[in-house]
Amino acid sequence: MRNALTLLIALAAVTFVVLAGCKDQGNEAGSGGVTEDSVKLGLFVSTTGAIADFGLATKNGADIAVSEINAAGGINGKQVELVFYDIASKPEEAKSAATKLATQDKVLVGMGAVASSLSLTAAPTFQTNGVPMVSPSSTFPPVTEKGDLIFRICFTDEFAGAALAQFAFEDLGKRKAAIIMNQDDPYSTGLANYFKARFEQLGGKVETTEKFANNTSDFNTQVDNVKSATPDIVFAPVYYNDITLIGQQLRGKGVTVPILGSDGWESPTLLKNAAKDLEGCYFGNHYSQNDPDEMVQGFIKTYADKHGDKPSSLAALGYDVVYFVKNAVDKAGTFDRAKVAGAMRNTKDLKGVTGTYTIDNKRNASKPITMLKITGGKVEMVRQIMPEEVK
Amino acid sequence: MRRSLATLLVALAICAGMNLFLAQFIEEYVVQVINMVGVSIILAVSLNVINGLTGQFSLGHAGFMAIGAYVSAFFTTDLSYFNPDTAEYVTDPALVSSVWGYLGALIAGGVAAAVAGVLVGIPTLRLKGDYLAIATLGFGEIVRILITNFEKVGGANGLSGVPQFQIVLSGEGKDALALDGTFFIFSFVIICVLLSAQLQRSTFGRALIAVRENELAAEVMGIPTVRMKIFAFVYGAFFAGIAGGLFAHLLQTVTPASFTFMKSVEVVVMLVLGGLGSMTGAIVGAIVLTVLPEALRDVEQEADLPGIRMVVYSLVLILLMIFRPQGIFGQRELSLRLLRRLVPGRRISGDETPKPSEDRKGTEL
Amino acid sequence: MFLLEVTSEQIFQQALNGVSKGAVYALIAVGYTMVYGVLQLINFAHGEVYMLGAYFAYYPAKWAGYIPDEGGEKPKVPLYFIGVCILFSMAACAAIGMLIERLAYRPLRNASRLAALITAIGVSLLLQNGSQIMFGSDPKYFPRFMDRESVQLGMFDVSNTQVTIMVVAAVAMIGLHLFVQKTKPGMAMRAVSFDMRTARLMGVNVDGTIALTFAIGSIMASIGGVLIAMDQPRLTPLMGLLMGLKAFVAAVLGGIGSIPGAALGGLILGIAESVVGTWSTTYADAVAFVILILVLLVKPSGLLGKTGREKV
Repeated sequence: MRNALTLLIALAAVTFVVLAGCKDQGNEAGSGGVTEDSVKLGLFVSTTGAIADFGLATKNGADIAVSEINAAGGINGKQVELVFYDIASKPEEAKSAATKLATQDKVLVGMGAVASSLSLTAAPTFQTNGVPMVSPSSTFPPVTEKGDLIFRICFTDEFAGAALAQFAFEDLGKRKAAIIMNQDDPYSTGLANYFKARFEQLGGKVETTEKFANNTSDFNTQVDNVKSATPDIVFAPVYYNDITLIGQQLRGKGVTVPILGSDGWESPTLLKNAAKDLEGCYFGNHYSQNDPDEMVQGFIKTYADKHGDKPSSLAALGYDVVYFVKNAVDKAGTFDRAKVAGAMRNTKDLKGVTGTYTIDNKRNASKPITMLKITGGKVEMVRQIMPEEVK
Repeated sequence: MRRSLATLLVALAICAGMNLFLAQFIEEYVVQVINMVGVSIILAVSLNVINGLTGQFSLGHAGFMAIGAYVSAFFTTDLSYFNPDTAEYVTDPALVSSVWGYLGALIAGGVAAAVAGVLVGIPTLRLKGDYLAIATLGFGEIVRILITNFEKVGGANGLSGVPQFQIVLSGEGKDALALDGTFFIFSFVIICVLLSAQLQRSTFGRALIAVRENELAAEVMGIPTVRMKIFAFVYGAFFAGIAGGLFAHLLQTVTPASFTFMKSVEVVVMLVLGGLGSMTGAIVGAIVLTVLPEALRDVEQEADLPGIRMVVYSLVLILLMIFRPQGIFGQRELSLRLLRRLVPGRRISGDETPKPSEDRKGTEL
Repeated sequence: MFLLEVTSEQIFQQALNGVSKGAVYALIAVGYTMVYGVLQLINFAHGEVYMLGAYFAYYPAKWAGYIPDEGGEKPKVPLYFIGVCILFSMAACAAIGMLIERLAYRPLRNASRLAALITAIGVSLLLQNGSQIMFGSDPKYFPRFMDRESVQLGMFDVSNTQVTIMVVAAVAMIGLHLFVQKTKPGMAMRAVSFDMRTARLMGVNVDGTIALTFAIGSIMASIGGVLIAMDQPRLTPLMGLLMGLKAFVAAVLGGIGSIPGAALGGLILGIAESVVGTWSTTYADAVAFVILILVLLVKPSGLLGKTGREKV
């Protein structure tokens, strides 16, 4: 019986410790996060752990949008209060942050996460609690399949991978590709999978797929393998911090073929550090920073004034996600969650920093991918690939 | 035997009661944290059998947990994986969908982890101390890398859409009175804690402790040390596998990123913080280290300093170790002292576990 | 899985890559091994010292204006200033190493080894997360110490940075070996490692020697950090995590406590990873651990480790 006693005490202790958080029975569904003069929006991204800088960029972008909106009178007459939680790149933290946002803070909408695996963990919690969730940058297709309240404002790997393969095959006329990808990163593996499938479907051949693990900085092994495969293009669906090193090490070993990349390349530091090595390379992005558009330049300027550097694409998506929510509330004219989600579903031709987009019937943003080329230390737009162009 | 069975039934009833109480009156977020605490308790108590009782330093608990998580989710989840030929995600429907199926899947996960425990237990025939630690760490990393490259279970994305199960008592839909995750998790917490406590006091458990204290002497005394060590690994791995399965169904996703060696380190930290060798310590360590990061979440939100949470966490860890290196409980158990005080005059013998020997050389005079 | 047709040339090429990779593993592994030798403590925070080593060489160059804020072509850092950066990094790392020992490990000298180990893990987490706040979690790009160029060695192709790594690491390791074997402080280190109590009775300044051990291990890590940053110029607060783990594996592989063992372990690990990578980069990391386990099964105390006598 002593064991049982130990156990009872332990359990009692747990219960006792947390009893403070008693359940608030009222305000179950319906309008969310609204107090007298403010509305709560939730943001959950990783600002510590492996991909901390992506989370921080997203948060910085969202912060700018929130202060702009508040300065302009808020959403529907209410000031925006951003409730932010760091989820430390861990699924268990994503789950508890999502639960906290949905049931304790009772936010109107949850915004996050960057990493698809973390969005997948958070999505069911938001869905069952009737709170819409919008991911700014999770590109893995199944994320939005978790329920009719789950949205994203970026394109999916499926579209981007296929579009990039078509670009390589048709626009650039390449036939032999080599892929370098991060095997621990779903973003990277997802794009690589779709690229390979489409590229080979078109008649090209992927000669080799070289993988590396998180935090790798010595790519000599991968580079030498790529070199002996003699491709005419290298596809590197990786983030800017990796491509800087990969580009340098490929060029250092005399691999001079163009490298093709994805939106993960977009960063203020890319050209500072890799302009020479990535000369003549292409990447697909949400938008072009040279776009003379007022909104784009305005955001870039505000961001640069505040943080000293130009924004990365993740910061731009963080900025856009807040405006996406604002647009939906404005359209719905109410803070009723179901109606806001309905307005989100009907979002059409919404202009954001990362392009003009429409939410499709799978709750994904349908928007063009902007192909950019690095030439003479600058990024130039090659063309836009429209969603209709890709099968 | 009958008494243990009665204890178990009473405990299960308490679990059910606790489940209903929490669901009714406590915020979902808090329940979520309590459930995580339950998973941590199973992990810490089971690792205590390997590290604390038997004195084998394992850093591979995340590997066992991963095996349990993936095996159980493999049975209960609609598997969605990439088919490179059609460039589409294919879905295989789940193999089981009932509560009994879920329990079976959990046990299967535990058994699979236990089998891995045998495989890891064998090197312990030869390795000691830090060498064993690094070998088990290597095992955990191998498991993780294999899973990451196994497309059928989602590769780096892992599995999502892992279902949650419940036993409906009455009613329907959202308002139904039902036993859910909390009940399953804490039932296993109770089974694990009861069994481990039983083990600790049995002759068998004393043999494990003998292996920890002095392997050579234990061998001379006729204790089959090799078999003991393998047993400890199998036992620990089984419950780590169960914990992994519960973890997967609690989070509704499993990703390889959850099972890095830092996860193993986290569990070891729970043990040492609570007091290595003490089950009460393991439980308290698990509670403290699961609740602490959550509690610090609000601090971080207030301070608006992303990352400060982990700095505080690590400082707490360092200071605790410097000022109380034996852990919160040392080697003591809570129940014993309490019972002594409650029942004056009654001597309870045979419950004190011997102190670990000072095994480091070069102790200063 | 994808299998390449592999030629022996490719394998030798990869082995060469492995030597430069392994050379850095070795530099960091000696830090683990030396501390283990004197304290029987796995200094988990050592990978973070390596990370700091890279940052401490970055900042002097940044302050001196070798990393223009405006971007554009970075000016080449002159040789004398490279020396300044490296010396600063070495000094700062030595100080950090000794500080860690004084504040976190010395109070636990007589506590259980596990408590010390957990403290080490705590220090490691503290440095990682503290650096994220101090330096920012976005990557920093190292100044131009050396322009990467391809060097032809017979039919093999290595970069000048890889050659530099191999040469500097070899010199540092030989220097360390001579220091430990031929000098008085080195002898004290060996004495403390052999038997701390007797060493103290013989008049060895035990505390000073332990501090020195941390300082030297940290200096080696700092050299490793600078070398890697020069070859792979991206610094992040988490860069010590994987490197620390690999170096630790190398130290155990070679036999923890043995300096030549650390060198051997580092080289074997580096070469194995790269050569396996010729066939499949997917499982290269897993293979490192498989080799580790296999070696330990055959030789439980590592390749050059002393087989401990069991005292009754």
